[in-house]
Amino acid sequence: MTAAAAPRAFVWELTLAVLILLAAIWASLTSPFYLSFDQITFSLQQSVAVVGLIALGLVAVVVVGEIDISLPAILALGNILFMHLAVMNCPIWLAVPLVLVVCALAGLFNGLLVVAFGLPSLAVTLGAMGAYRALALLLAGQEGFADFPADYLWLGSSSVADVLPASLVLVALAALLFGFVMHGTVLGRCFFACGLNARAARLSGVRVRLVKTTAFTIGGVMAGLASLVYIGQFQSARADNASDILLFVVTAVVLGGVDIFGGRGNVVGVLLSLLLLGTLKNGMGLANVAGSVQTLVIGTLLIVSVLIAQGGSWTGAFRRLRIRAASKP
Amino acid sequence: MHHKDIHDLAVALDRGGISRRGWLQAMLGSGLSLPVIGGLLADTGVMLGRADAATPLRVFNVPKFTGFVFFELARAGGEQACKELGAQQTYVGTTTADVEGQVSVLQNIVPQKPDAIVLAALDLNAPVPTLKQARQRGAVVITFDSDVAEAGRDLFINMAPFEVQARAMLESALANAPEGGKAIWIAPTPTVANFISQKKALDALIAKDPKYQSIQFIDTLYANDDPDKSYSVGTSAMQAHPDVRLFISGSGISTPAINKAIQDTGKSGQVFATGFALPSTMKTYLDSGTCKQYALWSPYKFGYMATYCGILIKSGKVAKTPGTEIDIPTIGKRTIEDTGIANLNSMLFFTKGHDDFESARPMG
Amino acid sequence: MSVRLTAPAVPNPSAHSGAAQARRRRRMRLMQNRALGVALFLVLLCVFFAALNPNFASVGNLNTIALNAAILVVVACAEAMVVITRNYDLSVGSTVALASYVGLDVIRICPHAGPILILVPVALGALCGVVNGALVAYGRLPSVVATLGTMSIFRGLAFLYANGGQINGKDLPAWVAGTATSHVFGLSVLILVACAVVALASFMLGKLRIGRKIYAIGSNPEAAVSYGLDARAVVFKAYVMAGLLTGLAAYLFAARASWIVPYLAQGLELTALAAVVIGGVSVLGGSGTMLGAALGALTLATLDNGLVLLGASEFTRQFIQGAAIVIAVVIDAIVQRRLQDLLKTMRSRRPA
Repeated sequence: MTAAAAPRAFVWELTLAVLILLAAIWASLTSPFYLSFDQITFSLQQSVAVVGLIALGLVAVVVVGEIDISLPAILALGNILFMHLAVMNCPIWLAVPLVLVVCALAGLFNGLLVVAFGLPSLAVTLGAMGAYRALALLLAGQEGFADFPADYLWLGSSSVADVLPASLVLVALAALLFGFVMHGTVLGRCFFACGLNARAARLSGVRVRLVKTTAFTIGGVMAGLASLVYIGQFQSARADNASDILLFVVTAVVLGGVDIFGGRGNVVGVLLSLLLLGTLKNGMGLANVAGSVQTLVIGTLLIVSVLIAQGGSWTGAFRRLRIRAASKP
Repeated sequence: MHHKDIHDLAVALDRGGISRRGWLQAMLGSGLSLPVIGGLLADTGVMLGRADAATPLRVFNVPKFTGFVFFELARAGGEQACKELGAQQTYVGTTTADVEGQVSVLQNIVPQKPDAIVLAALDLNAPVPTLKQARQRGAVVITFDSDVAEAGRDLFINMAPFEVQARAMLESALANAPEGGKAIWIAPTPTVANFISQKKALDALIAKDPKYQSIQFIDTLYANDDPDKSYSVGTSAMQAHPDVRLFISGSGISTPAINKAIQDTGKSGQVFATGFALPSTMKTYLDSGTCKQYALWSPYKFGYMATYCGILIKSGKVAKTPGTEIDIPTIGKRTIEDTGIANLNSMLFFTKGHDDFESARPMG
Repeated sequence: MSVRLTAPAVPNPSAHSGAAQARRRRRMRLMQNRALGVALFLVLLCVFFAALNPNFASVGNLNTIALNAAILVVVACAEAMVVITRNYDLSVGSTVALASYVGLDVIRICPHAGPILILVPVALGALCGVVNGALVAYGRLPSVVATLGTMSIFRGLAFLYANGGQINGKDLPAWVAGTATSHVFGLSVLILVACAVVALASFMLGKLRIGRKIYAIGSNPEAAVSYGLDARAVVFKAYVMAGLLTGLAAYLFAARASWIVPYLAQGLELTALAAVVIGGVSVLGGSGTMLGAALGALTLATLDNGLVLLGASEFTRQFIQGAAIVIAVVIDAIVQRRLQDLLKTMRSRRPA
């Protein structure tokens, strides 16, 4: 079985790659402005960087069989903390670890609640989402903030060697690291084992609770990292920052072939789906497609592609129906 | 351990979780997506020729969100200005009031080398980095309805100075309840800059002008620019403060919804909801006497003025320096103030029988 | 999908007698009835608010809370129906937008057809349910994915259909607005409709065969399938019924709003989910009642109202709402665990 499965393993990734190509061809046909290196990297940085970091964090959580919908709220909390640290003239080398620690704690808190009481993560993080937003609101006060010092903004607004946006490089590095940990280390295997069958994993000596808590904490750290990119890109901190990105993040993760019930998926797929979504958004934006049509297209793409990924469910369903009808006396 | 468990574990350990799928499905995947892409192609294919024919100035109109009548009227006004001045308008926006979404819309406008961007901003700061880029590439940025930081735009078209807005709301409040009374301020969320400024102006005016001192704000509530939330906030607030006389809101969505709440709970004549609102949603309440007067400016003229100024500045016919006077057809002469602000300043009062933009009474 | 280890806790009445055993059984039944717990919480909440603000306990205010909760109750019942089958419906907000806009537009176009046209938004809601159900049950999509997709699709369609317009209340026949304002026997029609929905849905889930199947599928899909249930048909029907209820809620939303816009009911899916969770419906499926979901909705409305009465800040409001959800699931988990312990002791003491 393994031998047969191995060469087919990357078909979904190939499909995504083909789709990206098609989307890019479509974009360059509809808009004369699409085909430009600067345009593409800039647009991808804006549409993919923040979402991509959060999506990677979410992958860790989803693979162990849980979900964390409070990640955007943790990002907002991170933004507000960066704001206060900037006001206090805290140097960036101190500010980043501080914020990352707080965001990690927020993720850890979710994880502990889920693990300690055996709670459903969707419900827990739904509640936590409200609580973290409220906390951000309390800390932020009414007015927004925009006077970040330059070194706070570097990551989200500068380019490495004037070519590649720094945030994209960060996403790539993070994805590499994630890919290595998830697919190349014992810890990664434990992640998948927990998601696929927690009981089996526990019986074979995997410390399921520890693994799950780790996944939530990683989610929090990634949200904190995304926050650093966010303030660079938008140069603004508000308690309701990023309140509408959840849909896009979950879409990216699912479209990347990660099983929402855990245990399956890989980082390459998520990267490709981010690229696909980014290219589509860019293309539709350049072609001035109405917002409602864009929403419609992304929704349709999500359903159609996952339907196909499910393994030709429609043809399968019809076949099964026929068999059942035929077998009736 | 069950057989299934062992199998699952083996799968996990063996493959690191990567899953199956056939080539056939891959082909199917790309095949089924083609109609979607094809449909888009057909939808936007018209764009192809246009971009190259670079003669008319290209103006992008970006609302806070699409589908709200206020911005649809502003869009029509902008269309008219473009027609008169030989420019071409493109209207793009997100379906929700989503800050990141709006910035992403702007980012996709920048590479299209716009001549002017007319924007109703959702955030004071977030669009600024993108708008700066657009300006560096020669675009004129006009904000209207709600502003961005000065570095991000050339000109802000305000509906009226905040003090005039406050006066219009308080005048309407007194027209409803001449003896004044306790009032509640309704805003969308605690973070929207426009509403913070409006409330400050209201407080300042009440403190300054004895005429309005009978109005006393006792609470601020948030209704998220959502009709149903406004309704329930309104009903709850009337229970919380049985002696409340007035709801005042700058939100065109909250004002009519609270009027409905007043009417449904049988408090018409005791409690009034006024402030800014759209005539299409308020006619019922003016007719029934639930509301006696409210204020607004013409969104059509608002969009017209913003677009008109944008095109004139871009084509170099007027300077954007403070003190410049711009003569705008059907509106009149308006002067640019020190901070790069020009006011539409044609506030309208709507009362029974004067319930549309044509018949409404201009504020004195 | 992993097998859920908790079997549905059904005490066997013919097992054996004994005072201790009977006491345990009583305790268990009490804990199983989670609606009771929610009701208790709600009462405590009311006492708390009433102690801090005398206006809270007035008839007028309680009526206001019930009115504000009424539509959410209907949506919560819809959501609960799906959640009990161990699925989600994230598209309720978008379904409300689509069904209310298109449905009310039909009513606007043919004003003389009379209140029979209420069936149009209801049918549209059911149609959305059919799409969701087909994708989840027969397309075998994870429900989160399917309804996340349809959430975008239904909302997009509503916007496309509206094309920048809105439906004004004055263009609609008077009976539409009348639905939200009229009273029967001194009770608001909205409240009566909500009560009727809860009663009917409870009856269906508790007494009818389809209801038992829904619980069976939710508590252990694999066992239910081995037993011979057509899991797909059951899940499909649950979605269609949820769609039907959402369509009804869409009409009620439209009737209460003074004008109808395609951006109506944004974020409703999370509020509905919150109501369901607070109401003790397990997001792992298989347990919970319509009454619980309704009480969850009522709790949210009470919180909203009470905090306005106390003059609480936006921060407090959001924080308390979030905390309430977490506390509800924690309590739920503790009760579940105690229940299992009790079940174990009962089984171990059962004579051979």
